[in-house]
Amino acid sequence: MPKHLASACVTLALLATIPSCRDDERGELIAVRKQTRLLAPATDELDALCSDLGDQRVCWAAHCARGVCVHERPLPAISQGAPRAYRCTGDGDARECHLRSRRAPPFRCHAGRCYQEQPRLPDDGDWECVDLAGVALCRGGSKPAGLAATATDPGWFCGDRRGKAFERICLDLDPDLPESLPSPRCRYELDGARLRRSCERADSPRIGARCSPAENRCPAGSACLQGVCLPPRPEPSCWGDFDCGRGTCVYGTCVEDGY
Amino acid sequence: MLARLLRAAAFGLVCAAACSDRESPSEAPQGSVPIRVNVGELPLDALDALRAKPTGVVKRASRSGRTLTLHIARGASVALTAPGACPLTVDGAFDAGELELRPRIALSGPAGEVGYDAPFEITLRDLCPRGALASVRWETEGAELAAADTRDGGYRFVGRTVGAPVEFGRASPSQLVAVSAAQRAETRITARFTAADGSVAVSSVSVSAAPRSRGLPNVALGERILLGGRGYRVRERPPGSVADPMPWGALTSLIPDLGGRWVLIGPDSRETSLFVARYDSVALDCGRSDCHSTQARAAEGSPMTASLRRFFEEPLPSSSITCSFGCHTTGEPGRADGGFSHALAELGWHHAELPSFAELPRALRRAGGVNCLGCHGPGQIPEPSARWSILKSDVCAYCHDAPPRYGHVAAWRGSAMAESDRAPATRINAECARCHTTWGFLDAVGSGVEGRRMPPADAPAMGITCAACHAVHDESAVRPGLLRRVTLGQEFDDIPSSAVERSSTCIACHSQREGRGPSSVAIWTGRGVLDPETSAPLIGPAPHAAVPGGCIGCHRAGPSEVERGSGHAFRVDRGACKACHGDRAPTRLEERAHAILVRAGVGPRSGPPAHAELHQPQGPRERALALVQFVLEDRGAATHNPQYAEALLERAERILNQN
Repeated sequence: MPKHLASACVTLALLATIPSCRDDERGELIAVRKQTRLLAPATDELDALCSDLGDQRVCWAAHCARGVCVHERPLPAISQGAPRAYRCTGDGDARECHLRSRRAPPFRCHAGRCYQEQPRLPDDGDWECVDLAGVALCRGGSKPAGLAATATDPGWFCGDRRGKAFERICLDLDPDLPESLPSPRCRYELDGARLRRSCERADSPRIGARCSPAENRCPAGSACLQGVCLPPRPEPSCWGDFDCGRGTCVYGTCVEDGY
Repeated sequence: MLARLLRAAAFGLVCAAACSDRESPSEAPQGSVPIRVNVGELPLDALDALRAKPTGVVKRASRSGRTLTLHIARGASVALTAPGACPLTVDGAFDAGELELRPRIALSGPAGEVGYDAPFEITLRDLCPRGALASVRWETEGAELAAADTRDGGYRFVGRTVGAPVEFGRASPSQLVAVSAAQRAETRITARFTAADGSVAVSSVSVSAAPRSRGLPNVALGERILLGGRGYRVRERPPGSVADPMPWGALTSLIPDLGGRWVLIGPDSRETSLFVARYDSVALDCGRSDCHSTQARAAEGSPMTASLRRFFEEPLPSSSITCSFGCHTTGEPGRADGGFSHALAELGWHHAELPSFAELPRALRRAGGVNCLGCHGPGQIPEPSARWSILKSDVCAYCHDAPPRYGHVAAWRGSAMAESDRAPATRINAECARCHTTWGFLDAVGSGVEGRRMPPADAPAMGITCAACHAVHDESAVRPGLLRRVTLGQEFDDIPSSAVERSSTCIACHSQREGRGPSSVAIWTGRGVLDPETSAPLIGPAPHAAVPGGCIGCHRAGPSEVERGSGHAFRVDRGACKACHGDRAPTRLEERAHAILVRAGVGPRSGPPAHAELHQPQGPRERALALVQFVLEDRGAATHNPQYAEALLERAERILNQN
């Protein structure tokens, strides 16, 4: 415990010896502890590339079977909702979560379709995005003009787009989804530079869904590994096959020999 | 006593555990029931001020976001109260569940602007189930109202806004009417409700007569546009729109309902094009390498850009943050325009809950500050014929005309700078326009676009505006104030940089050029005049050249009733003279100069000579007379540099006596 914290605690302890005067006719002021950080450590290993995906936490690492380890998604000890109500970023002991509703607008639903204004994007720049079987892929990110400070959203995997000097490709394996639509299909609608995320009910296969290798019901470009539909290890660099030479662009990653 | 010390020690241990940042949340206290209390529409600090009665039944309370989790002793009944909220009661039979704090009172007022000299009404409703009125007190702040009264035992406030500014009546047809922060006549009306139990609830609404407007063709979706005169029709509009121009007092109002290009035909049959968009639908790509990259780079470090971020670095009361959203962010509070406040509403956030600037969601960071669109407006680049309008002081007055706090534009309006191009000749003659118009000045100092910002001939005079002296997106601008840095001639090389740096824009126009023009800078610096006989430079002392700030080191006074920006009236601060000169009156140079002219048989003259008269004439006598005129031209010569001015008069007098 830091020294200044210790002295503060001693002071508070001494104050407690003074007869209480806080109780008055208005009642007792409730001492509120603020949960600003919700830690949810994960058993990630060094040199592994990890992300939350569906109800799992997936790590791409050399020692894992077929290069992928899948665990149950760790949640903060104080949870207030469904597992997907939290968006968690960071690795290992530093993995931290926040309620999605605190950093992104809620979905508003009407006639079977749900809309999210101001959806999450990789940073403060201008982006164009698509939803590919439940994962968000964006391109753009040129530096926005006239802003005091810019920040990046740590939940994205990003890389420079091949052959483009000022364009980046970013991938979010754990985008926001409307709670009221199980297994939805989403898309991004563009109005000028403004994006809106729109989702509707669908039963189409999704990245992160449970699967069986025998049934082969995973979305195109993904593989059923460890019982989960998984994209290739994220190394975002492409928007289409045209960026990958003789390879193919799979969820933003150039794959040379198929996946 | 021993028992107390033991209790204290135990408390210390508990605190040590509680203060740990990496504490793993413990299990719920034994024998307690968790209850979640959501803050609802109230500000977040209502949860932090929650009180429980009786004492000791709340075993633990932790807050995450807008939800407070209370662990209450099983079977206990508890009453919860928070400022401005209806009391909540949890009886002993309550099992784990969720409650919401509801505001004690609600005010319903007019939506949008009510117009000038217009009546309005605000109604107070007590939202608590067992509400009992003790008293309601109403307070107003901001623009004065023409009338105000209460009805129905204080539950109803009735008022009337003030009349329209007189300049609105002078707006010409097809002119986009600008409305400054002060001209909108916004009044904040607050109700203080005291209930029978003594608890107090406070709620406020703002009522304004008109919407703010920069008077630019780039407007935000949902923004009310005002145009001079009546009788407009829409010639072009985005498909699907239904909005139409409507009479609005002596003006015409249009609230565009869809983004895109609008073309209106005015009562004078002229076209007015408007570009309408949400702020957040405009790409912030102005800084692309082939466009405005240097301006964008300069804007990154501008205090305008950081106007919201500063709040997080120098915390202000939450009330200040609320009222500042209109000027420290991009977009208009209360309007669905894709600006900061709109994004805040879409996120479901309350203004008092903003964490750090870096933690704001992207939409809030992009509009958090006065960014490019904050001044230029959303939409596309305006048509070439309308690009002059960005130079109008109205663009700055959108925020900087808000006395008593921000009096910059109000002070400037009272200065000669605001009147510089009142005479039409000053706008037509290129030599005059160089210093009498903003566009002409910017062209002359190399910051313009070669006359492309010249307003049409029938545009109203606009003076030397903010943009002449303030270079808001120029990396070389002098701080504080983002003052334009103008490259001056070699003759100013030995003037202290502390004087020239902050006054180079003044010097650029108040100095002579090719032997003609104003004489004040030449007299202030004690140089720039040729001897009438020998044509040798007449060099003298320059005691005031060492005044820090140069011209604005003394010309910094203005209306006393404004907190900031009064110096934009450019009046002399007589207090500054006292530090060195005490109460001594300036030398009476004018009388002496007139006496010389009388003795020479050419005077006296009334008022200072015109710039053209100062052109160097032929012959020593004519030149000596011109020297006298030169001193007279600078009405401040006796203050700027009395020693030098007197020396010039002496020299002129000697030559005139000889001839």
